[in-house]
Amino acid sequence: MENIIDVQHLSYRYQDTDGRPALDDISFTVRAGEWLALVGHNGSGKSTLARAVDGLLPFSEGTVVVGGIQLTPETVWEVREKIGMIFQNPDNQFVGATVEDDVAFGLENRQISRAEMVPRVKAALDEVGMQAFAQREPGALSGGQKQRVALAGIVAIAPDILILDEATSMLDPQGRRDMLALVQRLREEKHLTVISITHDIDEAASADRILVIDDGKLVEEAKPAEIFAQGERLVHLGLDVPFTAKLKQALQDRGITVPTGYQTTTEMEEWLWQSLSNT
Amino acid sequence: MAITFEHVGYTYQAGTPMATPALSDISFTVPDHGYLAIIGHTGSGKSTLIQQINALLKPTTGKITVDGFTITPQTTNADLKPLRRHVGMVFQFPESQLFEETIQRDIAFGPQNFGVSEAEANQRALEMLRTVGLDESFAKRSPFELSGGQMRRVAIAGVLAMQPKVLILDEPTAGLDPQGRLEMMTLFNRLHQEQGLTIILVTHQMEDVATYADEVAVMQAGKLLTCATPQEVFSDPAWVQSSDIAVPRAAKFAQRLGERGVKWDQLPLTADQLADQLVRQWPGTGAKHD
Amino acid sequence: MTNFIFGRYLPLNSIVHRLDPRSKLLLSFCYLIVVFLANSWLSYAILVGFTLAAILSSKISLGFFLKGLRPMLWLIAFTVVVQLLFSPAGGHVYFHWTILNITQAGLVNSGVIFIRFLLIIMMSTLLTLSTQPLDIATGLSSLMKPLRWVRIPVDTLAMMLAIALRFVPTLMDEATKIMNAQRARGVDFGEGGLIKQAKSFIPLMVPLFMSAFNRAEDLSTAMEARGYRDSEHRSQYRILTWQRRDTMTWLVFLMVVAAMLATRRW
Repeated sequence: MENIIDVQHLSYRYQDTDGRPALDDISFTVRAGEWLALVGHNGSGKSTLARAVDGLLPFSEGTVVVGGIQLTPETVWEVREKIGMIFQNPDNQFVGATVEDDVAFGLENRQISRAEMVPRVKAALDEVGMQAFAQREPGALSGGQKQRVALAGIVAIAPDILILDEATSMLDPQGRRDMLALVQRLREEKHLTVISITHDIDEAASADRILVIDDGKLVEEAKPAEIFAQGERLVHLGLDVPFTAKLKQALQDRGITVPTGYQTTTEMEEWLWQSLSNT
Repeated sequence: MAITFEHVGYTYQAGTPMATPALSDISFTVPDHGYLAIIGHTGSGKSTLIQQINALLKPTTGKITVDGFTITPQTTNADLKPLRRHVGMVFQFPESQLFEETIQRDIAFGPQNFGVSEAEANQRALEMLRTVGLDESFAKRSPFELSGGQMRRVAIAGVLAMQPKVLILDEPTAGLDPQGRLEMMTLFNRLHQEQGLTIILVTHQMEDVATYADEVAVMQAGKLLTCATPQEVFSDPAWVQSSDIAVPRAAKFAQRLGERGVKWDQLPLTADQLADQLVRQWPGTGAKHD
Repeated sequence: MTNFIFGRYLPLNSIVHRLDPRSKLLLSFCYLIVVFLANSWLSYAILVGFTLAAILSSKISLGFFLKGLRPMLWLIAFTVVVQLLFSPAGGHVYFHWTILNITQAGLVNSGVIFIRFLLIIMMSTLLTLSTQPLDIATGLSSLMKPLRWVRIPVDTLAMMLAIALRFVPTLMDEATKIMNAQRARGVDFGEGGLIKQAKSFIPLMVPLFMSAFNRAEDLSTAMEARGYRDSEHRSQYRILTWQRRDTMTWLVFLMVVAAMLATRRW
């Protein structure tokens, strides 16, 4: 498959005087239709990286190519046409006075005629299950609902790439699960490429590949199972430790020999059952 | 400090057409040096409930006793100030309460409001900086140059500097990364263990409930469904199902093994408890322990 | 505070609520001029009748309306008293002390001021009670469109106004939260002397400004990511449509104005 995003030797400093760059010589590619998770502890530079890809930061070194277009000040609007981005704080990205106004915001910016806007807003709200809330003001919505409205705003624009910048981190567990399920469904239906920045193990597990960022550097790149196999060390990478890894550690501390690598809960259950019945 | 709620009810904008009931008939007790977790969905009344404890909101019906203080609908604000010194409150995203020019002055702000001298408050500020894991070099810096996680620590130090006996925490780890969450929860547990602080924790993290809390209060639509030990609350699958609450991962996992025939003395709630019970049944090791 | 209704919106479903906001804005403005044209008791009576009819058709209870106006009463009373005591001589003098007079002309004058004041306040309160702030903003910017020709950035101003309105409730919540956090740290808001009170607002205002700045930064990034470049090159989702009921309302209003003009002293 072709690469929809190609980042080469990207570096960025917030201020010229900063000793350490916020992004330090980062190179990676994303295939069309892939789900990529970016992980790292807070302040590692992963959000900065996502912003650079969307042309929201004026980086000076390196190249970013999105959908065959090299990102420059001249092409930045073209590049943004291909990317929809959801940020962490549900309140601070809600521009419209009501749900439907907010979904329409991106369409207004693209000077879509009202006749075309109305059905697109409606369809987008249907897609995320928020049609009943079309006239509501943001104050009447939960955080999870606001994030779904933000997703509707992106569905209305129909980009190729969806970037989730810790989009679920301020939601309660229910809101988080709903949002993740919705993203998974939209990705299937719309053949989206997804980049998600997250600490959440379930969200990271949905990815095809994980990039670990630390101190502005790309330090690791692997499949989720390989990353998760690091057990308790994951906390230092900015990820939750999977339950199975915690259990294995606890068993090992009690003198039991455990299998290496990463096990899903089902695999772990199977192994324990086998071991216990093995009398 | 023990806390008792007796038939507490609260209605927002009571007596107006916009009146919305938020709590009804809440009764429970937290013993001195207790660790209570409050769980429930968003909007179930958790935040309204904890604001009653230091009378930021006064009950519209019922009575609350915090150590020697009694809060009723008639209590006046003047009577409440001594109470607030003893009940430290860490709100959601507490870093948004920082305002002083230096970190030290911000931490010293609370104690000074309660009559502690500037010199002593500043001294306490330095101590509290260490308690929350920052060193004295931070004292003269502006709180606004810190990272989000560091700002939160400073805000918590500002609450601890009042030397409260009860610490109320409203989702204190929201928005932190896993490392930050772990450090934060460890800090609160240490304060609970070493200084005997009574802790009330509002949370969505069932793992934290299982690991730290003595008792868990389950809120739903302004009512208290139950207040019991995590063991009692999570062990009844039918009740858990009908009350729509999540269970710790270890408990869920143990239940699945239970369905295949593994026997538990009592339902394990943490990976450690689960491992303990597994080891006892482990072929070749179990016999030695029996 | 909760009784103060000036500037608040009361969601109801009435013909007044459904009118085009441009209609209501323009009408309120014209009404302001009309009130100052009335000069006979009969012409005032016609306007009072029109105002009461407008309030009744908004389905907002008159009691709620009057109760809400009570805080404004002091302002009205003050103006009336000043007018009464300092008005020029004329007609019968009822009371005289140094520079203070109560004369017949003074009585009439203050009566007129009282009625004008009341009519204007009632009509503008009706406007805000029956129109969402957002609709007022949309209506205003639509009415200001012609100002583009004199190079006034109407669209940008409208966008700023809409965003400001959008964030008012968010920042109000934030203010409550910060206030609670500081009260928990021992601040007494609204107690003590003036200086102490003023000082107690620093721990509220500094965090509130910081939060507003952070939100503004997040918001501008999000807006840019969603393709916002400037306010001129955008289409409009929210449009206002002039309905039959707007035309009807204006016809009624013009008839009232005609009746008022016919009964005024020329």
